[in-house]
Parts: sequence; structure tokens; C-alpha cells
Amino acid sequence: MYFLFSGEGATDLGVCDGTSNSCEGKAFLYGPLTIVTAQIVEAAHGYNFLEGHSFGYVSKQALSERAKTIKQIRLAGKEHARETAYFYKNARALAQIALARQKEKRDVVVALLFRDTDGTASAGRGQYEAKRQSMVNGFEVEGFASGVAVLPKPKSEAWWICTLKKNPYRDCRQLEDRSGNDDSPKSLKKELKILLGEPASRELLNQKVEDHDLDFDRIDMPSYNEFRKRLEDVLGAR
Amino acid sequence: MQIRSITVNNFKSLVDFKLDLAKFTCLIGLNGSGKSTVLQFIDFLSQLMRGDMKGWLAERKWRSNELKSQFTKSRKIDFEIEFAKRGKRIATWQGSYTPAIGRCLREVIVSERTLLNSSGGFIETYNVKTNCSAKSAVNFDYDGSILSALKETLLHPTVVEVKRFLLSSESLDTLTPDQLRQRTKAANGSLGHGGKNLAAFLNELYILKRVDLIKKLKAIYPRLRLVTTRSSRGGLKQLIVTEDYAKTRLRTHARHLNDGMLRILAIFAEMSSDHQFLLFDEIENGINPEIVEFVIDALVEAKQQVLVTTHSPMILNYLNDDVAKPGVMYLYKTPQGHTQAVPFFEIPSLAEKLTVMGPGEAFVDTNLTELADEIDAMPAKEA
Repeated sequence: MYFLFSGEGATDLGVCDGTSNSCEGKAFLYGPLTIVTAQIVEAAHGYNFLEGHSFGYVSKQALSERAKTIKQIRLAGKEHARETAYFYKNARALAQIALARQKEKRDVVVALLFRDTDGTASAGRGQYEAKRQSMVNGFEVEGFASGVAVLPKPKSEAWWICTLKKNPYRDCRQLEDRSGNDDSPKSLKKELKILLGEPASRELLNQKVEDHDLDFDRIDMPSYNEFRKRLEDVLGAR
Repeated sequence: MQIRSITVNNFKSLVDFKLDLAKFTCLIGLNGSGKSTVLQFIDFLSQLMRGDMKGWLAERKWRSNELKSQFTKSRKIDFEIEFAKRGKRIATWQGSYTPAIGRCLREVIVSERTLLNSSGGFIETYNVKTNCSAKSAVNFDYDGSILSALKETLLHPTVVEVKRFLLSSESLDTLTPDQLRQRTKAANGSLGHGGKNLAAFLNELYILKRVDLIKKLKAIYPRLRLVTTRSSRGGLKQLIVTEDYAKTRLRTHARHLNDGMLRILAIFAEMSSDHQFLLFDEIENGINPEIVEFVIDALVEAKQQVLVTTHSPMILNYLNDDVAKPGVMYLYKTPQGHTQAVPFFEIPSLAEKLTVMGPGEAFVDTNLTELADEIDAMPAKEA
């Protein structure tokens, strides 16, 4: 089984070493949510794929370039809500890359696509479920069966705060109702910085996950549950 | 030459309004956001140079006091128009128009130096030959801009260029099939209100330009053979389109021509003309989806500066990103009712969307009614 990741940056799934837009194995400077994924895989299959070479990363830019080549227009309408095309197009692009990788590696590829649902591309507009379903549809329309949407609501800081706050893992669902706007005075980003005592970085968050300082297993938030359930389904663990 | 930016205060909903224009600019926005008003304002500028404000108002069935905004108490319309060549500013025309008397009481044209200054009943013009300025009293009547009444020989070449550019702008904000079908005597180089001079306009086109026009249109109308005009005894010109079918040569008079073909003829006739600035409202009207790309490519590549308005994602999707980024301007109304403009793909969410999809897809995927919040949060220089 080969794991292919594509996210927004270092503090979620990770980045490629140097300026490369696509990388594998050690060249992939994996981020904390990749480690979380590896822990879920280990629980299901009994091995840590990060200790091998069967994983890779596709940058946001590389994914955009692929998405731009998909000329088929998807217009908003009764069947497609507004503010969802960004998720749909990115999923289609990653599915295409994953299918090519599958052929090349002659192995099953599991692709994980991370996007904040209230990030730059929607600025607070649109519904979470419509965005998630659009990503699922994007994988499906390309005939790719093992795509996993990693869509924190409103953004990944909410998951981190759930594990780090005063009463960790309790009443975390309400964090999903918070604004994703980083400029607001009580933004999730600012709150996470206070909880960490410094700005979030890949190294710091990786360390916390690797050292089991916090336990993503205990997060009970609909957006995290969706991710975990889908990943376990793809792994055949459910 | 092209207009690089327009700034206007107090023309209908255009209050403290600034719009940057590219060689090809496309205005988008919800109904009532002020897109057509921008076209009307540019037509107003052109009319200032023609010096017939009463005629222009009568043609549009407007009263002079309807030009100024209802949102302010000011009695004048202030504007500043920046002209550029190859991206470099060559002149700025500032003016202050008083609707009650139908003329600009103050006008200044500045390039490297002040080339014309009209205010307080005096006019000062810079003469390039003598390298000095001459000041005199304005002891003559004029309508619109003072430039409409001055001999070109008295003006600096850049001022003449500014004047001619505006005179050769054509705003087709009212193009209607009924008007396009009309028979007319003379066009005098203009399609006229609603396109009523189309037949005469085509008749006046230099023959080689007409041949070129037919050659271009054959790409979308392969059966097209001729676009001709016939004069009646009274001198009225009537448009006739000839098409070749299997065994029949079909001649169709304008009154039986389909709306779409009439509009295409008007659009392409304009691009074949010597006009320098073309403005089309709701460019998509009557145009088949199959030929949208052809029309848009032609407008983007036109020798003229072009400004269109549209509600159609199809139109936007045929724009390359490098045309869409500087050229697609989003118009919206503030809570006070003032029209504002922002480059659509400088709005952060739209810039992000454009990285994965076409301009039209990004447009139709966006909930425009909720976009104001994001625009408000943009840094002032961007918004």
C-alpha cells in the first residue's frame, strides 16, 4: 500500500525538501497529520509506513497545475452548491495523479487530500458538508476508490486546540462553529499559539504527536470523525 | 493610446469611484451594481468632447439633473481620466461638469506639464512650437468640454490625441435588435443609439474593411457570402445578408435577420472601424455558446481598447488567466448605495480559486451576495 499526500503546508501534512513540487520517501518532510495518519494505519495494519519508502507528497502548486488541465467545466447549480468547486477540482487532480502513481508502482495507492474548509478559497462562505461531498465526488468522478478527504472544520487549528486546551477532548464540537478568519481577535490561530506558547511549527507539532503528548484518538469532532472513518474504511479496518 | 483609469465623483451611483482599465476589461457584478452606469459615464465623457449634451440627453430621454448622484448634495460631477501608451501615463484630464448649465467649468490636462487649464472664465494653453503658454478669456459659448469648441491647431498634440480618443469611443450600452434592423440615411461613423445606424455604418465602411469583416465572420457563418446595403430613393440604407445554401443563394433583409447575427455584425463592424475604444453592455446577449470563444478571442485581440459587461461565466471562462487577472473588475454597491470596483481575482478567495479552475467557474462558484465581507477585509490599497 502506497500513501500519497497533498495538503496546504508544513504544519498539516508536510512539504517537500527543497523546492520540489513532488517527492517521495525521505525527501518528504512530513507534517503532524501525516504522523496521525501513520498511527491510524499502524493500528489497522500493524506497521508504520513512515519507516519504509512507500509514501509521497504532491505540493499544492503541482495539484493546481494538474487541476487547471481539467477543462470540463463544473457549474454551480441545483446539484452543485456554490463554494465547492475548489474542493472538487483539487480532488479530481489528486485522483488523476494517484491513479498514475498506482500504475507506476503497481500497488494500491491511498491518497489523502487536506484543505481547511474555511480557508482562503472560501473566506467563510459555503457549507462544510457540501465541500466534503464535493471532494468525495471529485475522487469518484475519476474512478478513484481510495481517496480520503482531510477536511477540518473550520481549519486544522480546531483539532489541535481540542487536544491542547484546558479540558482536552471535552466539548470540542463547538470549536467547529468558530470562524476560520485568522484576522479576527479571537482567531483559532491565535488561540493555538497561546496554547503552544509559540507559533505552530512542523517540528513542534510533529514532536507532540510522536511523543504521544496528545492523542488524536480521543478527538470527538464531526470533521475529524469523518476523516478517521473514511481512512479506516479505505484501509479495510472497519 | 488607452484609458488607464477613471475616477469619478457624483455621476449617478458613481460616488468616489475609481476603476482601472486594461486593454480588455470585463465588468461583472450583481444586477444594479453599476456596470451599465460605468458605460454611460464613458459615453458621457465622449459626449463632452462632441459638445452636444442636450442632444445626448434627449436621445437617452434623460434630464440633465438626473446625471448627478442622488447620494450627495454636490451640484457638479468631478472626474479624472488617466491616459496611457504602452503602459506609461501620458496625460491626465481632470474636469468638473455642472449639469445645470451643461458644461465643464473647470478642466485641466496635464502631461509632463500643464497642457491646458480652463477655469474661472480663462483658458491657458501650452503651445509646443513657441514653448510657452497663452492665457485668454473664454468669450465664447460651448457645450460639454471646452475642447469641443477649440480649434485643434491651437492645442498641444497630446491634448488633440486625448480629444480624438474620446471622440472615437463608441458605447453600445443600448444595442437592441429593433434598432439594429432600422433603415438609416447616414451613420457619420457611429452605430448610434441602440445601433440604429448599423446599415449606414456598414455602408460607410471602407470596402476592404467590409471584405475583411466577411472573411472573419465566415469562421462562424460558413454560408455567409455578402453583407451589403441597398439605398432607397430617399437615401435610406437597408442591410442585406447573402448566404449560399446547397442550391440556393439566400438574400435576407435586416428585418428578417436573427437577433444574434445582427449583434455579431454590429460587434465585428465596430472592430473593423477606426474607433479606438469600444464598450459593449451584456456582450453575451443573443450569442450562441458555440461562438462565444470566437467572439471573446476577437475582442481580446482587437486593435481597440475594449470594455464589456457580462453576467455569463461562459464569457469569463474563455479568458486566459493573464487577461482575467487585470481585466475582470467586480462592481458592487456599498451599504450607502455607492458603486465600487475591485479587481475580481485580487480578492483572496478568488485568487485561490483561479489557481485550480477557470475564471468563469470561479465566478459562478462564488456566492456574490456574501462577497462584500471579504472585500471589506481587504487592505485599502487593494480594495
